[in-house]
Amino acid sequence: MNKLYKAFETIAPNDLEKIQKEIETRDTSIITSIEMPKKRNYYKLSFAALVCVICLTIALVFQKDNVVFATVGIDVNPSVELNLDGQEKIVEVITHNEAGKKIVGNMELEGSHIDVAMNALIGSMLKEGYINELKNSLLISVTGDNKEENEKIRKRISQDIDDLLKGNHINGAIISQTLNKNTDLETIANQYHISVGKAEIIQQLIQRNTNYTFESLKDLTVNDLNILLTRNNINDIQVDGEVNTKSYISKEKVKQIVQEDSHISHPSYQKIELDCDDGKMVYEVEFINNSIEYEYELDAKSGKILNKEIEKKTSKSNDNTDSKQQSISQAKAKTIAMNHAKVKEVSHYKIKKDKDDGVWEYEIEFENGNKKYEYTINAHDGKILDYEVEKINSAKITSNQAKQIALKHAKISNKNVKNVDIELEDSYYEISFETSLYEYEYKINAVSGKIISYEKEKND
Amino acid sequence: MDNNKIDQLLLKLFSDENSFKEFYEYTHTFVFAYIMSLLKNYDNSRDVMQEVYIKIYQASQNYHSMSKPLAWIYTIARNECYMYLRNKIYMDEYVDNISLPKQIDKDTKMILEGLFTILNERERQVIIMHSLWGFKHYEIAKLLHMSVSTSLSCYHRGMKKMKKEMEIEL
Repeated sequence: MNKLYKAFETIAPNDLEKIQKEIETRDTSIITSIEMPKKRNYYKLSFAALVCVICLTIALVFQKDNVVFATVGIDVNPSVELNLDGQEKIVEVITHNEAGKKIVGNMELEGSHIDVAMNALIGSMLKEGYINELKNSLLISVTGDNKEENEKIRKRISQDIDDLLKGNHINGAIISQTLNKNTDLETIANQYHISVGKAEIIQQLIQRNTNYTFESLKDLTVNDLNILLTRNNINDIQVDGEVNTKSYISKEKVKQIVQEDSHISHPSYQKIELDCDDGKMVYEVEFINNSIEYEYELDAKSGKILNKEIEKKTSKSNDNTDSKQQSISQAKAKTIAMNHAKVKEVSHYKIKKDKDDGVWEYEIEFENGNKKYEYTINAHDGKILDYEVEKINSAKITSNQAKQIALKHAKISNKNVKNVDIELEDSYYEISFETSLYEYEYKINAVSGKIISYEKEKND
Repeated sequence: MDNNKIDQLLLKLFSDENSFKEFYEYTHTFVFAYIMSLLKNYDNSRDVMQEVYIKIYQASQNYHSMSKPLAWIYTIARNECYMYLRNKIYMDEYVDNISLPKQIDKDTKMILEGLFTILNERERQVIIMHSLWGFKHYEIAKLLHMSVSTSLSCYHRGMKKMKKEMEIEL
């Protein structure tokens, strides 16, 4: 590898200063957005589309006089924030993401009353399909210095939105909260490009359930977060209406899938719950049959079985808490790698279990003969994800020995040669020398000492 | 290449000049290798690389923390290369010859010539993405829209060719 890198390192131009100068002269207000390569997986596509559901945040920040008295943020996964003045009229509209921009479109909200603006925005979201009976959750957060005012606004707006949705035959589930100004939260929200309101909800979830991380929850929709709120029994946040889980498969369907898979007709279910794993909504199912414990993890959208674990229940509680993932053993992984490499014995064997991109992998290294093998194996299904074979440089003979071999072969003695040049290439020595009559060039295997090639030319 | 480190640098890139410098120094070798693998021409690759870094700088305003920022960088570089090639072909100026900088040492020259004359474009790309960028084969497969086994075989075939015909073990 190093050679290739070095080769490009030598020629890669160092144009940093030129680039920095160029940047200064360009208009940095041009916003470049990068479309990541589309994933071909249909499921992922639909998930990404779902991510664009609804997060409606209204943050009202009260300030004195007529500059900015309040900030209202509407979050349609991207988010919109509306800054209000003392008369609850909009001073400024800030969009946090693409969906937010799309919702606002070219509406001129500045100067209109918050109620009018909300009406327009909700209408736009309904029209664009960000809110429908399947995705019925909204998040409203009101931020400001005046607690009483916050509370009043929160109540009024959530009531208004509820009415508005009912008018469209949608039973909304409206999460509403009032927040105090909190710089820490704002920093986090900025870092993950989400609204402060959503950040607060995520923080609550993380506090309750340590399995969650900010990274894994940040892309969830408000609908999903709402499901998680219910699931984790967080009650300090006001939720009006019931969250709709119909965008996911039903519990009945889940039962049917696991029963078919396990060939058990009437198991006693311990748990069937929607949860989030690695930023993805899953069903977690647990049941016991004949003192065998079954644990399933299903994709909540497609019903695909992501993971299952079957365990005999013994009287002692198993401390099998290492990982929920069912995985192949290290020995098994080693066998897979060795079979693939077609070797029977290995030395310098190393194995490491590592998590990459949410997938457990075994990283295996071993040597056989003069080759070094590196394998990456999916710890879950034993699939080989990656492998590499490298020759080991193990020069067994010294440069002096190589020289002697060459001289012996050329049948000349040490004192008659001049301009001797010996270089160790990867697996061989390149030796050149001259006598008064000829020029010699030898290539000698650095391990075996065998002569690979030689040339003899008249000296001129 | 360390995805985490790049992620951290990208987050600070827009506001912090030093981050940009560090980012450039850390990444420009393999970014250049990729561009060159497509364009084959040293001077053109140099121009395109400048554009790529300007794009990265501008796009970093909207950068979200992600686990695979290398794929993000790759996307920018690829788009820029394709745009360049499209223009060139459109203007009828495209010449499919390799051109290397004039003053390079013998070893470097040999490796690069091997890379550009012996390997086909796919093998070259896969080797550079795997060996220099550090992409896994299944990631390469996704990025280049090929199967994992194609990526694997391109890589190994390419390495074998280099070894057999140039006696270079990369």
